[in-house]
Amino acid sequence: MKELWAEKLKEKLQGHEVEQIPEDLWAGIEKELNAAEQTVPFYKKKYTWSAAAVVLLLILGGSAALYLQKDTSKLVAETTEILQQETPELEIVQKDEPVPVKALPTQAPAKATKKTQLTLVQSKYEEETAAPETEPQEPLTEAEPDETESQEKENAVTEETAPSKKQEESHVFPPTDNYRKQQPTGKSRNSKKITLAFTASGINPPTIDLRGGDFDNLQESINPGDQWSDQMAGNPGDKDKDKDKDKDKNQNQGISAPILDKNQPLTRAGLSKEDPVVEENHRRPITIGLQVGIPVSAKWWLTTGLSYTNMKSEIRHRSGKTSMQELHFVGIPASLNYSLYKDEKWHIYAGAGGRMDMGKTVYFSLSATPGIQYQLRNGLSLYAEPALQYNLPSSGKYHTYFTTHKWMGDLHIGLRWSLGK
Amino acid sequence: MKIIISHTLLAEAKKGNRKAMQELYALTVRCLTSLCQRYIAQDEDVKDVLQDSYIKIFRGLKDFTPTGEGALVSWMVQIVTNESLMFLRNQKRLQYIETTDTLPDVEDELPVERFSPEEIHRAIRQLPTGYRTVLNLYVFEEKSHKEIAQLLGIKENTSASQLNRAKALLKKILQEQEGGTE
Repeated sequence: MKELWAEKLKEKLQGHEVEQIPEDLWAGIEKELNAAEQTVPFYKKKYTWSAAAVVLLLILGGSAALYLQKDTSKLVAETTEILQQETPELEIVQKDEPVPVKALPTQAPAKATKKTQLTLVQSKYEEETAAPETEPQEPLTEAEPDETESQEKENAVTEETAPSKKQEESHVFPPTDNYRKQQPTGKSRNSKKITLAFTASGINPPTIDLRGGDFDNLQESINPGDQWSDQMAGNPGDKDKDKDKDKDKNQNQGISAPILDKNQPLTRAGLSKEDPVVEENHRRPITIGLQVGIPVSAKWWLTTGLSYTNMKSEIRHRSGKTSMQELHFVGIPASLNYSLYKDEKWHIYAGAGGRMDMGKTVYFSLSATPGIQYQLRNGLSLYAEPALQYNLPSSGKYHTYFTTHKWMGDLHIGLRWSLGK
Repeated sequence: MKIIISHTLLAEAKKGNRKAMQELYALTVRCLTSLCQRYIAQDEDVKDVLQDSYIKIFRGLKDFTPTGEGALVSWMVQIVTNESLMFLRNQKRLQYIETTDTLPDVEDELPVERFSPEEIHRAIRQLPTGYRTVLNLYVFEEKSHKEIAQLLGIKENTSASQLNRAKALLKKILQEQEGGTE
């Protein structure tokens, strides 16, 4: 209970109104209200959460798609050099040149025709223990001059198991004696001639791409029961799920699934003469980050912080073994951004900057990006930036997506703490 | 004067109807200016605080649910009060005179009935900021000294002494006004 004087004083001024109000007060209020309304044109509050959910789904879906997408890189020059040194009989034949094929089909698979520029014919491998005189050799081509009736029989069997044999033959050139090479590990008791049709992508001869439809040719040219298949049969239970997945995938692609050998980094040292690398599949990296946004002016602002990039590569060796390389990088990004649109929740901007990624090696990259940012609460925002990135040359020994792609599209996602308004 | 705001006006203002918002402003601005002036002496500062208060009111209006008659005005008064106190805190204009001197013996009956609301309002605005703030919180916001102490970050007896001095000074100012007008 207040004192009497306080009660009287309050009662006296209850509902008191002044005669004069501050000048232009309403004009100032209206100006502020108009400014606030101009920043909320494209959404209404009740749609905010659904819009946020859509953006989140797009980010997650895009990330998953990018992550799962593979890129078959070009083979490094060293590999080819090793191959050439090791197999001097290996020939690089211009496809346009006349080749000694008895019967070339008139129609080659469109995919292969489109992609193939160079065709390498790798020799048939013969096991040291095999007795060519007693055991029939697999007749993969009709060009073998010394093949006999037994070849025709096997050919018939092969056609049963590989209906598209005719197509395959269109890419298989007849092995000659010059292509013969003895198999170093003789697991198979049968003498096999394995004719591999390698198609190369790109202009530079040292690069080999085993991508796409060429895998089909590769599979069909390998007989069941050859070395790769034997390896698979001998190691069914030792593989983890990833390996099984990879095996299934390769089988679906038409390749006898190889033995996986994890954690074998793709380095120059890994390109051994015994088992050189013939294919690299670099998965597109995804970068997540924790950033801070620092306003410079009303429209310009800086971002920096920390990022994490995961780079995975599948490496296939000539023996059929596959290894997985996984590298982790912690990056320091820095970029200058210009605000294109901003309201209480959404911020659309464009920026350019660079990033240093540090792991087992160091990469530097420059990027230009549009970006969208959604404020979660109290300056904490979720951002997504589909970036066009230029990777500066690296002297590191690892082959990754960064080293095989100077220009690449990248998706940067993460959380950002924005300072100021 | 009692402010009457119709449900229709409130509903339209909540929708963002600019005319309804301006009408709501016109109905309340004189009352809220009086309230703000009781806390803040400088007219320019009053204008800034009122502008910020109305922006908050209009932005928060769509989420406001009236709980009874007069609830909207009470809510608006609360916003202006909070904005005024925040302004004073930010400006560090809350200065209190901590003394252990014997407080002046002020008669309980402050002769408010002899003065018009305008005279009392003018007298309150002449009080030092610390006195004025405690007086406003104690008399018009009906806060206890404990609550005032917590709100302003001062001791309870400081709040009490500030109120006692404010009362004495207010009486003196009113009497001087009365003497000047006679």
